[in-house]
Amino acid sequence: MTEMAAPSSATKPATKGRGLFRDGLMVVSAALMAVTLWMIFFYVPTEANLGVSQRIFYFHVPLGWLGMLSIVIVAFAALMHLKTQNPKWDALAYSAAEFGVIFATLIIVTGAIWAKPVWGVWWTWDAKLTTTLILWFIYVSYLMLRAYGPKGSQGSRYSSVLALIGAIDAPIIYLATVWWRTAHPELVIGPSAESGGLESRMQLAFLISVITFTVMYAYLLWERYSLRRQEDALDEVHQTVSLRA
Amino acid sequence: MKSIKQFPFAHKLVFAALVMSALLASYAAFGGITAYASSVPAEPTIEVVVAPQVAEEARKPEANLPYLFAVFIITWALMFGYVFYMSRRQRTLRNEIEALKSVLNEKQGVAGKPARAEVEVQS
Repeated sequence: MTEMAAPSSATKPATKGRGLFRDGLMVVSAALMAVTLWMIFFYVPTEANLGVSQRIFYFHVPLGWLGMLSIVIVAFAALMHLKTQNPKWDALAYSAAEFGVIFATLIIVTGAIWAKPVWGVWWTWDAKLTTTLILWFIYVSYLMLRAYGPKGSQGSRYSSVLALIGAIDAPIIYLATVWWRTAHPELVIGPSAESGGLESRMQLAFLISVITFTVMYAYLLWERYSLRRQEDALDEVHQTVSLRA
Repeated sequence: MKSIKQFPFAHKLVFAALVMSALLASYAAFGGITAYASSVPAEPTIEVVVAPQVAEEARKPEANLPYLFAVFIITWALMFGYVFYMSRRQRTLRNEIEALKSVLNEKQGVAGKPARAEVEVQS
């Protein structure tokens, strides 16, 4: 009969250290979020043309950054999984894809809410918006393939290939405002961004907001990854038990 | 003293509560925000195509508060929803582990072996 081993005492200090670091990430992200919210509502001046709605920017753009970061992580982890067949990479890809769906949804929803007071419409088939919607479909199809496609290593290989193909969309979204005539604002983050476009307080608040969301993302991704690893381990135990029974 | 590992999502709920309280405190003070904002002349920031029919309305500081409020509520609702989904998954995993443990202990007890079944679970 299967006998599951108790955690080795040799691994306990490392686990404790990791737990402390993870809790530290949580505390730092909570503190940074409080600072970010204070800056968004009290520190930054109201933009002259867009009014209060411009404050959506401090949430919308960091969420967009995390949506893009997710697809990069999914693609990298998928590539590593195809190369090494290590299930840890697959767990990371799956976890990042779940966050990708959440952040892509939030980009689209917050963008639509911002578009209404500024453009007068909730949605337009603009290049940036359309390519972002495609990214959302890529994430959803990745998760659907995992849920309903072949199980085991075959399923994870198929989804890894899909993730790599989907990653092509990331640079297209980023450069959509450069390549096409679009109503979406110009780039404010990354190598192709125009520097000096923001007022100094707005720039600082934006920077803090991006850092905050990134730290929070790291913490949540770590949690989800741990959970996914446990789910995989438990599946293995179930299989072993059912085989030996 | 009970370890936080016995409440795997307690610290996450504290995190959620901290963020939510900060958000509510900020929103509660909104009157001050618009007064402050209107007293500070701001430069145009990013080049955005603004529809002519809504341009005048958008310039009013208090005009688009519901949109801003909606963005924050939806963002946090979705994030918290996902954290609760993770919490439920974790609870399900723990229940499955407990069920497995009891099955294994039962079978090992019948076989006359000392019962020992433990699974490492990271909190």
